[in-house]
Formats: sequence, C-alpha cells, structure tokens
Amino acid sequence: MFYNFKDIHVVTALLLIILMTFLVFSTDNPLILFSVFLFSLAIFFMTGSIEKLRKGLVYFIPFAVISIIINFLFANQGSIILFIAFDKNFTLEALIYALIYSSKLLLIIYNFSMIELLLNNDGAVSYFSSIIPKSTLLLTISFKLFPSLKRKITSLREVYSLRGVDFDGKSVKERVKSYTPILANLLGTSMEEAFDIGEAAYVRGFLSGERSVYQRQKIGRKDISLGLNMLIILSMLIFLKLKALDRFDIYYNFRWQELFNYGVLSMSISILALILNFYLNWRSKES
Amino acid sequence: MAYIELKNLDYWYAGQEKKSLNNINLQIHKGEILFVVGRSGSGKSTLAKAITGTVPQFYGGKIRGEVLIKNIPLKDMSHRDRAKEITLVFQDPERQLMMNKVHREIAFGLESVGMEESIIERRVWEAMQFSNILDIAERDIGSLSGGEKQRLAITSAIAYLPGCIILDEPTSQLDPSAAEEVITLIKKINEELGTTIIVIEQRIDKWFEIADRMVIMEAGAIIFNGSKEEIYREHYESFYPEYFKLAKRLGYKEPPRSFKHMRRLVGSEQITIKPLELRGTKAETACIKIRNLKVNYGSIQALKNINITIKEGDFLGIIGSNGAGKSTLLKSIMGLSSYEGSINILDKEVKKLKLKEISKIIGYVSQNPNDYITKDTVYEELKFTLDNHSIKDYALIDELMVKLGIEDLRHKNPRDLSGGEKQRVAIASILVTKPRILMLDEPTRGLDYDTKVKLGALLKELNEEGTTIIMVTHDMEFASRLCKNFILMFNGRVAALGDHHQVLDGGIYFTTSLNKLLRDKQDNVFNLSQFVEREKL
Repeated sequence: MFYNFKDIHVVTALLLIILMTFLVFSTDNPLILFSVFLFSLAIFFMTGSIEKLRKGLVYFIPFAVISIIINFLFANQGSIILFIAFDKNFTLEALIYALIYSSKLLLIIYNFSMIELLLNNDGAVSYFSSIIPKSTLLLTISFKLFPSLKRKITSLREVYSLRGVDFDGKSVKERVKSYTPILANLLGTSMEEAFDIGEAAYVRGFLSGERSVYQRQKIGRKDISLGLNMLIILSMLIFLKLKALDRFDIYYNFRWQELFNYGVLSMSISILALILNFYLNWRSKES
Repeated sequence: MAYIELKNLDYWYAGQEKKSLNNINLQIHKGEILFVVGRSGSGKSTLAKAITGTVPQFYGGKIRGEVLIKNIPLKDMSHRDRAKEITLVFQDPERQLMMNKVHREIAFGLESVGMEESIIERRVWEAMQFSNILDIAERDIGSLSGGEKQRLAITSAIAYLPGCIILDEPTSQLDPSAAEEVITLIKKINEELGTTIIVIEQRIDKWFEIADRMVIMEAGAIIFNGSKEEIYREHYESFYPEYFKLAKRLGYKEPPRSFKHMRRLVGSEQITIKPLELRGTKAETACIKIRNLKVNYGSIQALKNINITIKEGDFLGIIGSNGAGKSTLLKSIMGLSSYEGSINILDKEVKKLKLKEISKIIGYVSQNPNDYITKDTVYEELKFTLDNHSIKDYALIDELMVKLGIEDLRHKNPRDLSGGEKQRVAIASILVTKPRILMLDEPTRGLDYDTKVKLGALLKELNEEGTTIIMVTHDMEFASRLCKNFILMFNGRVAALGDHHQVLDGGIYFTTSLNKLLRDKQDNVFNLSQFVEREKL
C-alpha cells in the first residue's frame, strides 16, 4: 500500500526538504549521508515512486565516473594504492573521496525529487499567495512556462528543420547557432505568455486585497511530530559541528572513530526516526 | 436600466496615435447573449478588456468616455467588486489556468476575491456539478484535453456567480466537438443562471444559433448593433451562418428562425440547384506513394496500415476527429516521425532522405503562424529560409511578396502584423524556395471570414500553378471549397478516401452544413460559393 504524504502542511514539507539539503551540504560523514539516502529511499518506496531512484542514478553514474577520473588524476594523497599507471599512484582514498562527493549530488537530486512527493503544489501556491502574493505569482508563471516552452521547442524544431535549418551540424558552433531562431521565437512567445497569464490573474481578482484559502491546511499531529524530529536533527547537527564529531577526512589520520561515534550514530538514528515517524503517522491514518 | 452601458468610449493603447475603440455606445441588458463579431484587429477584444477594466488598468493607455456596470462607473468600482461581477474567459485555456488540480483551479479565483472560506468549498464542487466535470475534479490540468481545459476555465468563471461572463474566442483553439460542448455549456449558464454572456468569436454558425443580439465592429467602432432579423436585412454576409447566406441567395424576405426552420423552408419549395462539378486532378503522376504505413508512439499505434497515392497537382484535405492520426500522417510524410512501411516522395523513400533534402521538396505551415517569426522584418524572414537553403537569388523574395500581396509589409516587424498577415508571411517564408508540395496544418484556425477567403484564393492559385497541397483541417466549408480529394481518418485508419461525393456526401458529422441541409433535395451540394459560381455560369 502506498501513502500520500502531501497532506502535511506546506511549511513542514518545505522545512524538511531544506533541513535535508542543509545536512547534505554541511557534512561529509558517510554514515550521516547514508542515513539521508535511506530516508529518501523509504519515502520513494512508501509513495510508490521507486522510479525516482533510477532516474537519480542516471545523472549520478556519469557524474560519479567523471569525479573519480578527475580525482584520480589530480589527487596524489592516500596510502592504499590500488594500481600504478603512468608513474602515478591511484589510491583507494581518492576513490572513496570522489564517491562521497558525487553521492552528495545524488542526495540533492533525491531531495528535490521528494518535493513532488511531500509538497502539495496547489496548496503551496494557495498558502504563499496569501502571504507573498506577487512573488508567488512570479514563481507560478515561471513554473507554468517551463513545460510549455519545452513542448514548444519540439514543435519549433520541426518547423525550422523544414525551413532548412540543420540542427545536426558538424561542429558544436554550427549546432549552437542553429538554435538561434528557436530561442528568438521562444523569447517572444514566453513574454507574451507570461503577460497573458498575468492578465488572466488580474481579471480573476488576483492582488485585489486579502485572499482567503481554500481547504486551509492546519498544523496537525503529524506536523508537530515531524517538527519535533526535525528540531532534534537540527540540534544534533549544531552539537556535532561545535564538537567537530562529524569530521571525516579520508586522506589524513583516518580513524574508524570518525565514522562511528556516539554523536554520528545518534544523528543517523534521528534521521532514520523520520522514516518511522512517517510510517506510524500515515499508517494510523490509513487504519 | 441597462446592466452594462458604454458611453462615448474611446481608447488608445499606450504609445499609439490611433484609437483602438472609437466612440463606442452600447447597452447590454441583464441575461442576454451578445455576439460580437468583426475582422481581426477591429477592436472586439479591446472592447472586452474595457468592460473588465484591464483597459486601461492593466494595459495603460488613454481612455475617454464611461463604462457603467449596474449604473456604477467602472472606474469607481474596486478591483475586487469588478472581478466578482464580470469575468473573462480567454482564447487559449493554457494561458489562464494557474493551478495543477482541477478543483483547486476553480477555487483560485474565489480565493483571490477573498470569498469566505466556508462558501468556497460549496461553490467549487457545485460549479463542477453544474458544468458536468465532477469526474475530472482530481485530475491534473496538464492531462486534460483542450475542450476540457476550456470547460474548466468557464467553470472557474461560474464559481464567482458573476453577473456577466465575457468569452474572447473561446472555441477558436478547439475541434468542432469540443466547441459544441462549450457552446452547450454557455447556453445552459445563460438560461439557468441568468448570466449575461458576451461572446467574441470568428466561428459564426453555432454561436449565431444561441445569440440574442449581434454587434459588428470595424476599425474600433460599432457598425451594426441589432437582432438576427435586423442583420439579415443588412448586407453583412461575412457574418452570416451558411444557412442565412443560402436564404439570402434564395431571396427570402424574412430570415429563417433556425437551421431546422431553414430545412423546412427549402423542403417545401422547388429549388433547382446545379450539382457540383468535381474538379479532378489532371496529372497522372504519383507525387506521394504510401504503402503499409504504421506509426507507433510507445504502445499506441497512431497509424495503422495506411495505403494512399497522392497525385501531382492534387489538393487533398485530411479530415477526421482529434487523435485520428492526421497530424502524425503529415509528420511521417515530412520525415519527422519514424515509421514502418514505405513513404515515397517523388520516387525517393523518406527514410533515406535527410530533413534538409525533404525541406526542398515539401513546405510545411504549422497551426501557429507565430512559429515562423524570428526576424525583425518580413523581408529578412523570407531571406532566412533562402539562406538556409544556400539560395542567393533574392529576387525570388520580391516576386513572391508581390504575388501574395505582402509587398507593403516588407519592412514591418512580423510580430506587429494581424493574424491574416502573419499567416501570409508564414506561407511566404515556406513558398520562397518553391517547394512542389505544400502542407498546411489547420490553416484557418483563428482567422476571420475575409482573411479565410483571401487565404483560399491564394491556395487555389498556387494549386492551379501546379503545387500539390495537403491540408489538415476541421473547417469543412473551407475544405469543401478548395479540396479536390479528401481523406477521412478515424483511430489511425483511413475511413474514406476520394472526392466530395465519395467522402463528404451523406456524411453524419464530417460534411458541410449545406450538405446536411440540402441532401434530401439533391446530392453533391456542399457549399454556397460553388453553388453561386455554378449559378453565375
């Protein structure tokens, strides 16, 4: 059975995404990063969106390969030599370092994928329109434009192919140049479209005063429970940073204690507790 | 007291010297359906914007005169009160929907006018029930068809329970069946809720049936304001439905009350109508040969075993329902879709040709002439196509401009042109390389009657000069006047193939209104212009 997590408050969902992103950026500790990965995996699994896992890997694998190659080429540090080529040592440490850094990209991709699963888009537009209407309208117009412009590029490509434009030119310069007419057309079209959306919003009374909210979301038990969990994670992160307990340097003086200490283990448990939090809250709702 | 009153209204867009509305005096009564027609650029949409207040509040510019709603000057009404009283449904549903889910979209407007939260829920769901779209309430808007989107936009308008709904070309982007659903819904809104309706539209026939009064605009001014009976006594045939035109030709003093009434009138009289002489294709050379064509989009089979031969000099109309495979067939011929089977153009297999080679043989004009605008002047736009084909004979541009009657637009920016002019520029930008085959996808979409007549004359002339034309269209009247042969498609298959008699005669849906009207009297009657031409002979 799959769960619909979109009924958490938009603020809770946004704070959760921000916290996870902040975590990924602020630490290199593999255990904490692995916990974030497990959390993403659990969310994908519980919402029946496991294909997002595969989509993330599609971007991750080439990036990881490039990171490993670059790190192998430029990093000389490390003591465990995997192989020697062209008079250069290729170390296990360099490999692990590149993998950790590229996995952070993967986790950021997963975090952004989770927005779709946790955040009720319409609820967010509705909520933020009542607080910051102009900025929300601007963002809504931008988000609406992207998919239509994407569709438009395909149809324009067909039109211009039959006007003799060669999109498969020999050099990169030629190929880039061939897209100039499409971009010129898109610029005009997107401006007109944005103007029309704005006009339609005006006609419908947007910015005519204070807004009401349809199906107003209330802070519920689930939001409080998740909020407390997030607060614990944030507090622990501050504590770990102050005490430098999450420090992880694969090249110099690596000790297993860096990876597994009480601070890091507690942090990982707190992150994994989020999974339990989601599961118990939504299971009780379903039952 | 009129519900809406416009008094001596003049309007100038910002930076424009010329008036876009010129001394408009108009009274609109509560509960009526006003049908506003006129050529492109005649000021119809500006009139709608003036009533909703976007002119001048949103567009700027200068306004003179007064707009009164329930005797209150619009300028004294708050933005919120105006939005609750009068709302506007736009031409392109894509450009007016803000949210992702259907029910949330309907709530968006109500939230904007600060409606009490306890009322919104009821309004949203009741409006959907009224419009019969409850089944799509939880759907993502992106997954809806064009017709569903437009019905959603109208439902969003009803939810306010406004006094007036203005519709600016609401059916111009829709296929005939979707358009009929929209018209039926509007009629219901007017009859059951008493909402005043102002419709601006180029498609005359169906809207004419439900209108109480008509207004014709030209150059920003109202040149006619009256009932259907009154318009019949005047000479505005461009804005008549086909059966009105026929009644006029037959010399009826009084107009028919409806299409049904017209059938009764012609049924009880002795009318001699010369049958249409079918214009065949003289050439015997096959220009396009399609054998066992199949196209798949994933698991969906878009084209199923198509076999067609198109002769050189033919003018072929491809008609059929939405999703029947018409556009896919065009794309396959142009090498834009991968296919199984064989498509042979002038003895060359499409699969083996590069797109650039195909573009020398086939010219393609898409539904939207704006797609062809990238340059700052019309001349440069045509030169762009020549340069892409490495043709340096720029005299071709001048020659073609004269031929298409766009020589005076040479230095104009294509974005500033009217819909009809843009259409001509798009066609010119394709014809400048003298392709032997011209393909058009819905060329009459959004065009007014006069522009359509001009476009028809141009296409006919090109065809007579030897260009093979293939046109996908829903406009049966237009197709019946120009095409020599037709393909009727359903569900990826060719359901009928041949001339007017073989495809259109006796059709239930895909035929002209005059064919439906006169089929009991005589076969092979399709449109009035052919009938008149025949009569003149």
